Amino acid sequence: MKLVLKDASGSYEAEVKRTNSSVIVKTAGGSSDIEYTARLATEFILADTGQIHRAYAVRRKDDLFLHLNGRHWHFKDVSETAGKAAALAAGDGDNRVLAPMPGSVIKLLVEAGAKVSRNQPLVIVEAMKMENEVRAAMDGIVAKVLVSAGKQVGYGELLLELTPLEAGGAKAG
Amino acid sequence: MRKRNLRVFVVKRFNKILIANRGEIAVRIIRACRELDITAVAVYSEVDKTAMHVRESDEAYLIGLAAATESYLNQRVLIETALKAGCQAVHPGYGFLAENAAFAAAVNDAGLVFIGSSPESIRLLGDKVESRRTMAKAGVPLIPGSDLAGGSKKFQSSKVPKFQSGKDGVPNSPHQSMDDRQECLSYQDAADRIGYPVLVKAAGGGGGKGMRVVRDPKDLKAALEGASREAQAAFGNPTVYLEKYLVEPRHVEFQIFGDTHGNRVHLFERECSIQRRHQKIIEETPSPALTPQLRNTMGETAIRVAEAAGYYNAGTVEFLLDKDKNFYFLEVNTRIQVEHPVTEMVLGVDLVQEQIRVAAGEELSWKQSDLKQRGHAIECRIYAEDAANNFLPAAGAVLFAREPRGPGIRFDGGVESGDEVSVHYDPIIAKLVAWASDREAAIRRIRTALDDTVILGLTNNIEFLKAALDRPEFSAGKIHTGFLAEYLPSWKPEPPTNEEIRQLMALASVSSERKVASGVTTGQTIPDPWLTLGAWEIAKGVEQ
Repeated sequence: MKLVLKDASGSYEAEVKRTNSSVIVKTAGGSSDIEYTARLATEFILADTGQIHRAYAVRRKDDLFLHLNGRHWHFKDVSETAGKAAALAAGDGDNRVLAPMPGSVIKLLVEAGAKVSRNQPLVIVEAMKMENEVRAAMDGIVAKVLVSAGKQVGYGELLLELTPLEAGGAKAG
Repeated sequence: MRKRNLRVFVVKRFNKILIANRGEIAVRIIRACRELDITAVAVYSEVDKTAMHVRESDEAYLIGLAAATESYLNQRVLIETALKAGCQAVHPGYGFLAENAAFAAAVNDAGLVFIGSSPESIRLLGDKVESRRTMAKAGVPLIPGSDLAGGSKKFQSSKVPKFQSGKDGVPNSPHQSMDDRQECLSYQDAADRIGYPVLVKAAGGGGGKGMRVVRDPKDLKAALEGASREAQAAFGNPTVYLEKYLVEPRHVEFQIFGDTHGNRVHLFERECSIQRRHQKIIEETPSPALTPQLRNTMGETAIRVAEAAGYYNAGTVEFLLDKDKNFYFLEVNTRIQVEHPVTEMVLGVDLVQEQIRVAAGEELSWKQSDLKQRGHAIECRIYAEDAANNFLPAAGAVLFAREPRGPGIRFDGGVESGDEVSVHYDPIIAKLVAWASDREAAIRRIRTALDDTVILGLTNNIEFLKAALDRPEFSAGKIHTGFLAEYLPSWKPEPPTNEEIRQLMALASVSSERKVASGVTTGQTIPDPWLTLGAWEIAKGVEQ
């Protein structure tokens, strides 16, 4: 079984073969035969050539929350959709302005048609009484405004769409 | 129900208290009530029906919708609930209505006891501009600010939606005649007089809400507007003022306590210099910066502040301490503080129980000479937030949690496995506190305890807290309020090693067969019969 896990630091791949008591994991960096015991639904003991690792794991859909040797990890399990996800990421431009967290839109700082520059604040989203500026990831023109002040938004919800300004392009001036 | 009658003599006036709060502080107050054999009455919003503070309480009542303005900030409903339940007193905790003088007055007027100071002192100290004037008169050292620089006007953005009442109970009149731009100009004058950088602060509250640093005059207007909006949302009062921004100061605060018989003591300092977005995340006592002599002077000044305001019950006098060990009065928090446990650990006291006793009219349990610092305590605030992404709040479900244990460890939590951290409230999950004989041992102890803390299901700041504690500057005690911005400006967690990747992969592969912890509402494995029944109505036609 091929496993592909992703977090902010990168994407990791392994070939995993599981038996009743151990898992053989092969990565580009080497291979390990790790014994495991499931104590409770969320708690595991891993033994890797004699070394004991206390571990906890919870999965919710594609989200994997792990705790290993005192450290927290949060991965996206993209094993099944790895191919699809890679394609999506490549075509996913910076022109979509997404809500960085669930909250409510407090103020729109730009209107449709406005010319914006990279890092310019576009929208203020509030959650838990803290205001957060959502900034432009590129130079561009505001093509579409999909939210208004007061609107509740979910994580990753589309707020604005930008049309990229090509540096030195014919449209300039 | 417990009927021990163990300490009835201690707080004979109270046998039932309403806790007008939620989360870890509500749980903390409930614990204090239990030990005093007082029935703890919890209140909850619709989303908190099964929250930890409800589970821990003796009685619990629904008070409204998820939005705090419709529940935990609804003064009328809180007081009605307290009266109906037969309570004698109301504990406001911190946040929400804890520093709202109108609420304190309304509680008292309803024949209940507000567990805190008098509405008059809360009003005075809650208005940061008024309190600075009072403290200036009392000879307390102050930071130069807009009120003292001549510009006594307060900025209130007219774009801010008005609440029904302001902090002092007086309706905020709409400023039809006041033009924002004109008002802003007087602020620019004040800022010029004080000298940049300046700090924009909310007159109506603390906790980093409604606060902005302005280094460049052209950013002043936007900062005033943003801070004013945030202040309105957090405290129901959009008023902001300006203050000189000190470079690399320490935040050192003193716990004070007074009773209604005129006794006042201080319970020494807490150093709270480790802050992100002007909010504390690591606090400790004693402060590595204070000499015994400076500690005495600051403690005496803190008591003088309390006297000048006629303050009683628990309060915190906040100071900034500059590099040359000059200290300046910042403000008084007229409530129990988030970080109160470090004081409790080092002094061997229970501040929440003392709050209840003092509210019941008893004299303080301690004289100043009874209070001695012993050992060292550190607190880390565990938040549901993404420290690698601008500390954005990360609401979600706690699918599994395991508390650290061991000698000298205290864990004040507000959520357990299966609970939600909601977008509607403060994203605090828990406070981890460690006590040890000295600072070095306390750092090692809390560092180990952080490794032992497991919170799965949402993004939390535990790895970031460890990174802060691991900085050599922290061990050396060389800390200031810009510590995190200076030493961990764009922190990212370390990527996994090759060996770790293989272990994590093994863990991921075995975890897949056990989806989520049992009993969690967001679990996907077991179909809930109530959900699969489809749409149908209960008690159709019943009045809403």
